[in-house]
Amino acid sequence: MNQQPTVAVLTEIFHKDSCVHFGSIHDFCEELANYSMQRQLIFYVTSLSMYLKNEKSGYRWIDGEWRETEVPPANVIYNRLHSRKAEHSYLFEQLIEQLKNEHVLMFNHRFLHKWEVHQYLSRHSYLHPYLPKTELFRNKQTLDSVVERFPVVFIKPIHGSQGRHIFRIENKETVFLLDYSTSMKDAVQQYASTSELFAALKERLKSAAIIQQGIDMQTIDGRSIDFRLLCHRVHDSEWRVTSAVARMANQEQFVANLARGGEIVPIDNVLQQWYERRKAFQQKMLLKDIAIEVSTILASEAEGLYGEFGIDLAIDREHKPWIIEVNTKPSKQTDMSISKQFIRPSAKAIIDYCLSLIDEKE
Amino acid sequence: MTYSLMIQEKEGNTIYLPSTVSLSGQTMAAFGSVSTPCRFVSSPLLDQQIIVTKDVARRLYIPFAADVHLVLDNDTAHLGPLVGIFTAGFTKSPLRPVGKRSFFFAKLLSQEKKVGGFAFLFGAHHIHWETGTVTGYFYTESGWVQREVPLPTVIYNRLPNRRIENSETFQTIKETLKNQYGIPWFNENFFNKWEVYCLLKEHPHSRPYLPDTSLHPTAETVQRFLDHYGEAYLKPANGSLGFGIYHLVKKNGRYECRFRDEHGYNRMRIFPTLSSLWQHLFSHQKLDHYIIQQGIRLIEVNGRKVDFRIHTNKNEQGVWQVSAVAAKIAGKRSVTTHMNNGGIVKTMEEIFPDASVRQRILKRLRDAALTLSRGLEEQMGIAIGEIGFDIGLDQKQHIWMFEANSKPGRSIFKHPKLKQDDERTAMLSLAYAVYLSKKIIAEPEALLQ
Repeated sequence: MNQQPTVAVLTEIFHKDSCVHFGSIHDFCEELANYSMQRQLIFYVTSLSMYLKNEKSGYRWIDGEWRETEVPPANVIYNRLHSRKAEHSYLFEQLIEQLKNEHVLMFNHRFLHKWEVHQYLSRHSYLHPYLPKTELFRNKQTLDSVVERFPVVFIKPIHGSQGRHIFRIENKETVFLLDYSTSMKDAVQQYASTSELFAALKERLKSAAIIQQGIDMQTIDGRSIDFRLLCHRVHDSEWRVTSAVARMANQEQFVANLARGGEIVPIDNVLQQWYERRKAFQQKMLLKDIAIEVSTILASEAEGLYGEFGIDLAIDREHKPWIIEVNTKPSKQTDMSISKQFIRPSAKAIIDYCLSLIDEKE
Repeated sequence: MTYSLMIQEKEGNTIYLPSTVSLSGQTMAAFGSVSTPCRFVSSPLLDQQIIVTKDVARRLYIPFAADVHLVLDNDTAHLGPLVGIFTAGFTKSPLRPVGKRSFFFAKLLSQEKKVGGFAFLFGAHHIHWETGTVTGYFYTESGWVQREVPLPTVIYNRLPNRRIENSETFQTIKETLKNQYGIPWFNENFFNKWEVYCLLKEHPHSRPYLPDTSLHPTAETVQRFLDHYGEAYLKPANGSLGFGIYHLVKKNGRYECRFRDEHGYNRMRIFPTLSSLWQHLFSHQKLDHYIIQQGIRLIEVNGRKVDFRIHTNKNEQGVWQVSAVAAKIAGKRSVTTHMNNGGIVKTMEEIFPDASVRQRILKRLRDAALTLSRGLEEQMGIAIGEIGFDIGLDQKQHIWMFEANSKPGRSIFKHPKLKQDDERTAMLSLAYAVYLSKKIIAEPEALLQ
């Protein structure tokens, strides 16, 4: 190939006071650009509408600022569109078609919703021990059957993210308690029967949802803890865990998402508080093993190309890990940036994977 | 056919069988190495179920309800089988009992449901000789659990390396279980490359696939191989994963040697004469445990050498079948196509997009692998359930077998398109274990051969 290898990030581009901004991945893009330079790649940021124009322009990181310039077509595109709506648009369809014709690779292909993730994973029986029982929330029968089996269940919108709009139901024998993740205080409602509960849920649920067995999570000071493992593909058949952190829920919350006031804690601190050193090590390795298995399976089951997943895991009071959910556009906040000069491992992993894709095509 | 075995909460010294099972005066029930007298009741109410009362289940150490096979001999009804998978390297964590290999074994054991019976993982220190039982690791819907069960009906050897396999402790355990308890093993040894060569040379159908090979290479042997074939491989007879391999090529009157150095880097050195090569590389190193193998001009795809990994498994009828085929492409400068050497795995579809070309090559590769599997088993005279072959195709379309592995690595199965083959090979290993169990119950003398 004569052209210098080129990588593009596809995301939403905002303009504010004559400045360009790439939303939650703004700083991350700078790191991607710096590392691309080291690896002698052309790197730019583009949006759906920009990429589909005939005269291609994109934002390149030049002399410490993002400048719109003319750019070559990309060999590989890293899809960081954060709007599900955009991925369902006609423009996106057009893009997919165009990339197919031009033999341009794009990862992650698209958002995977919670129900399809569950279905892909449950096809592999060796993962069943780590998968909470999950159903598509269809009707009152679904609610009855799941609430009957587990003391705590969660209802999550299949397209939800950042811990938003999650219901928690606790079965107290005589009464059902309903809690909601997006409101802070005094939100717990009581219902005497599943019929009343169902009526209330039906009113409040705005979209398709799953109903899931609640995990009796291990806690620290009464705050629930979950784990976020960021996984990247090294090449076709190998995945690696790039960062692993624990997240401690805000006192008032039952989810530990950072967007819901959760805070990041080093994973070793948490595990060593619960276990002696060797056991803590085995637990950490097990969390990593599970994250790698999950990534490998999703990449082979889901249509299209995937190179990055954020896997949320939890550990229950019997020390068993559980797969809570999978994020196809994981936040970069868990892979902490120390300084401006520092390039996060996840940024390097993304570019290295792009390079391996380009290499392999040759 | 399998039955759904259920354990009844009450005692009663009874096993209830469907009336379709024709009993002929059996008075004993057996599970693995343990048997106990009990009453049998034929019940027309049962379809595919077997109900065991709690006391009988306890005496037989049946760990939980599952789908089982039933084999009747003169006086005993055998439930099971109980398949033991032997390995080493256990951690102290019951959630990750064999460290990073835990998921490998979880995948293997979770195939049990498709096959019927009970499979578990154990090591030397899990055996209780005084009670004739073993505390095995089972992989259930809730994950790893430990249960005390009888000694198994058959044992599948999955020790991680030759060092442990050659240890006296292991050899003693194997011989004891085999000879004193009559428990057959399969894939009981790692293969030795020289032994494989010698045995297959005596098998007329396999012989054409064997590259010329010789033991204890000397400077003279190397000279002869290079004069004759232009290139040659030096390999440790007991090596795995491509370690310690040298690739020698005579080119334009000079001698090239490719190898991996002690830091894992692929190196190439050129020498003007063979004696200088020999002097530099092998004067300090005895090649007693090495073989020399004729080099083959492998076919190339995009300028890179390609060979094939072909898995064969015996199925539930004890018949060999090809369970996976993958192409391995060598790294740009590497000695072999091994994965840890810069090699990458491709499916046959990716390498041969043209369906008719692919089918033709596949058929030939499959035929070769099946012939070699039968040949090895006949010549070795031991039970083998799975083999991984490294097979090459030269530029004249001749097929060559470079290596046969009795504990083939799983790295090809990381390829997303080969996931199903991964599960199938695991399932077949267990299906063969069931076959072998039934055979040993029906004709215990078969083991003595």
